[in-house]
Amino acid sequence: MSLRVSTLAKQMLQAAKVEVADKWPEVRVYAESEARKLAQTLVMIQKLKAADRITKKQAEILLDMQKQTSRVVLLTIEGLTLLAAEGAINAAIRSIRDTVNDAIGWRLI
Amino acid sequence: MQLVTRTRTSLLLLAGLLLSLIVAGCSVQYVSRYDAVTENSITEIQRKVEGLLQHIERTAGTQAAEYDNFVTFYEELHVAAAMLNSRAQALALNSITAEQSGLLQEWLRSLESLHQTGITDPVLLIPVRQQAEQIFVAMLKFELAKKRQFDRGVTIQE
Repeated sequence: MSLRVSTLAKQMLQAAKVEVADKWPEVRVYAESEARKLAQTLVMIQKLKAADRITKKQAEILLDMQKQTSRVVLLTIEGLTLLAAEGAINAAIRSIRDTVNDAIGWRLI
Repeated sequence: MQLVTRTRTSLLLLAGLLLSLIVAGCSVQYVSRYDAVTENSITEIQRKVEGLLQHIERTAGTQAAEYDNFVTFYEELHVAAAMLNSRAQALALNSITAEQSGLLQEWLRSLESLHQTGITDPVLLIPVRQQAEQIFVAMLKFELAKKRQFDRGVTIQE
């Protein structure tokens, strides 16, 4: 049986959806992207195995490397979210700065 | 991951708003400021990895591609990654980049292990190249986002 990227990704996403339940809308985009990349790696491993161009040890290493890669990507998404929050808070503070400082009479914020 | 992120972000937003009402001269900071040394280190490691992959692609299956020729190269690569990780850990509010650089170290060790198995077919490097691109683009994207945030803050203050 040949593995297919779309089938594998769909199966992984169904399992992930059950796991995260109500948070699914928030994580869906990232889960889809990373599941697809993992599926692509697995399909490539199968093709290489069928052509006798990869060993089991090499396949295990490649899979580990893909997991490490996904974690780096997800950490960037987390970091960009924090930066966005930081930017939003600071914009909010700036928006009231003059009003508050004028009203209080001190350069408070 | 996203659940944790959302929860953390919500708490930080609340804490940030409260702090902003209490602390004088306030602005909030959740993520370390841009660090040029970090960006340069990531780019340098990327350059080394790209050079290695190109070399193995050209010479796979020959003696020139064998791991034994690259022992010193990997030692230098691991030193560069360790220095990046140490710097990332030393900077305040830099846990995400520190974790990423730790994962980069793991990935490089895995790459070395893969090389040790003997890469006789360049097709094996196709997923490796894709992973390298994803890792370095992700890390650089975050560093450059920090830079944009910092630049924006400086401009506004001016």
